[in-house]
Amino acid sequence: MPRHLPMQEFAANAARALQDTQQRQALRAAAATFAARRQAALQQAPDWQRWREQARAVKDHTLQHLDHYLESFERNATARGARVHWAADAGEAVRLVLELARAHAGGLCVKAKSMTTEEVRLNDTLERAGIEAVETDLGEWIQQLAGETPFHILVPAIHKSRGQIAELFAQKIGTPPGADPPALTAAARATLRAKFARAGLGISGANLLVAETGSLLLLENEGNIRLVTSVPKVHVALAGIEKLVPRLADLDVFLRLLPRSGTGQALSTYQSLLTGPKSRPGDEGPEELHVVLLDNGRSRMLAHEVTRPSLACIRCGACLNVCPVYQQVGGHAYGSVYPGPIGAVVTPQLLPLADAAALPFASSLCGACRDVCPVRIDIPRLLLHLRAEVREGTPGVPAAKPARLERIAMRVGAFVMARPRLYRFATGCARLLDRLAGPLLHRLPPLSRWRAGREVPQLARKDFRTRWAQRRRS
Amino acid sequence: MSARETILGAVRGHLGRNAGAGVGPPPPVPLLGRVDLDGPAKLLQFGERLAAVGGTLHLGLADGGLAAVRELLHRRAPAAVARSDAPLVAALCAHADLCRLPWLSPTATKQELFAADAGVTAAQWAIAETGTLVLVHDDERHRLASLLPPVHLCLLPAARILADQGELLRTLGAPLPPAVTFVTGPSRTADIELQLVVGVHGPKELHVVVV
Ligand code: SF4
Repeated sequence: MPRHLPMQEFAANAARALQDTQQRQALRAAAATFAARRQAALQQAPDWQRWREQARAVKDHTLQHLDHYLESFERNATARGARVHWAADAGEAVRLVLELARAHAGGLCVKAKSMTTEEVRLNDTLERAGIEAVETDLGEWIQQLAGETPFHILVPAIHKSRGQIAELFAQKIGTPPGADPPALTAAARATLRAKFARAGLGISGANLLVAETGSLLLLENEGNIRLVTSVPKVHVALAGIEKLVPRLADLDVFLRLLPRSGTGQALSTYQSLLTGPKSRPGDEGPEELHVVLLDNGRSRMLAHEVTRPSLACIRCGACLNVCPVYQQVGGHAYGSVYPGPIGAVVTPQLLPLADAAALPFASSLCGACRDVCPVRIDIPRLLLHLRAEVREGTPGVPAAKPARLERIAMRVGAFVMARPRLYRFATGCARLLDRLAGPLLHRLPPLSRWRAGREVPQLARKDFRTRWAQRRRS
Repeated sequence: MSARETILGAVRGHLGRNAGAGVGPPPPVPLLGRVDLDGPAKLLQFGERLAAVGGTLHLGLADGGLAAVRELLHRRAPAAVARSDAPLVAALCAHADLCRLPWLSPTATKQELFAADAGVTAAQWAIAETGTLVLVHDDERHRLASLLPPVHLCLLPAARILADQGELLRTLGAPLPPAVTFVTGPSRTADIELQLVVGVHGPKELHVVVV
């Protein structure tokens, strides 16, 4: 069973990831490719900002009235013959799916890529119950064969080179060594087709749920989601309660934003819009459709107007692709199903905050994520909010006290900054010291430690206030 | 308390709402695409976008697609060809030039469909803006025939091309059929080093014959 790295140890995980030259090269190449594709897609979309605003307005409205839209989805999906289940936490969700798997899978489930099933660790449970659950998205299947968790929410094996994948396939499914990507893909197709033909249960997530029609929408490029949702006798979809939109017409804007943000496509290859199981016995498609609505910490995020927008995320992956931290340390260092900027935001809210306390700090707050986010989530603001919660504590969570030295430094800083004269004197001294003994001081603790990952800038010879005063005089 | 009550209770509690509290109208739905294309312009744009995503457009306006389908199928010498139950497809299959091909029944089993070399279906709608085919699986039995064989041939009546997906969503309306599939080009992946590979789990080739 693949295990995540310990997320409390982000710094250590990151340091180790930085040693992996191959991985960093792969990430750098991927970042450049993603940026170019997204930019090309946006050039064809002059109304981008208008679309973003529309999407966010729809999400805000839905989240503010989420109870109403959940009930409406349940009513309309049920009217069409779907079975709607509710799961307050991960345990309930896996129990529900396990029950269905025991009843219908015949020992084998096929899975579409779904971050939500990763979140509840569904595969572990199925495996323990002796039920085979095969990932069918190529990247996700590669990760499953390698015994690893996904590295990226869109491209799970983005960190692996073709050589590594060829070696893995040669070992696991007996492809000739050194096979190229088309040959590897063909081998995956052949192997997985046999699984599709045999599986009794298809398991998927959902990109969006439509309240007014009780429908699921699923986006993909490979065709495996179409197979998962139409070949097995029973289909179960696990979806977070935040996936709702009110109307069918709302899909328009999300279909414009999601593929362009994620892969730079105007539209992904396949969209499946599913409403209930088949309605006539002779038709194609599953006989039963189950939808599991998962809370698992989401409803908590509704409480505060700062945290609520976390639930607007459509999991496009754009913020990962532009994040300078993700680009260096990669997905596994976060130790969470959800890596990158959005992972640093949702993980500490889904889990007990103390477990993921390191993640809100895994950011330089540069704001690139906010700029690309198709639903305009202010990720830096959320990170600051969560940092404050970690430091100051929230109801039920004690404050995580910073190191003593840091505390003293902050207090002294605050004292000095509140007193203009003292501040001038202190900065004057600092400038003098910097000029006389700067290089030496940088090599001694505590600065030496701080400097391990950063450059200490040289202080300007004259401060701004002095220069301003001189300018006004002349 | 059931999980349902727990979740709805938590949602309401955190939002400060009471059960059954009212909801104002959601934000109005604006027109996001282009609606000013006429018939020929739509066909032209559809063809361009389809080519951009790796599909191929054939014109069969004069003969119901007969020549194009004959050429595409005969050259492959298929061992089994899947087909949907659309009248357009049935008419083609019955034609003297094509009736000797190894057609499967429109109600072929999954096993037969997994082994087919090509699939012939119609499409209910298309979207010019993105080069997308829209398969409404209630009107035609083509959920698997369009998916399992490595080659998908799709007959598209020219009058069925809509300008953009907004128009499609308005056209679909309620009640929705159990499944609608949007198809934009052949199946693809970029999961290995982000290199594009065509033909993963779905068809490797997509041919649209406009009739
Ligand atoms: S936070 Fe925004 S950019 Fe990041 S995955 Fe979610 S929607 Fe995409």
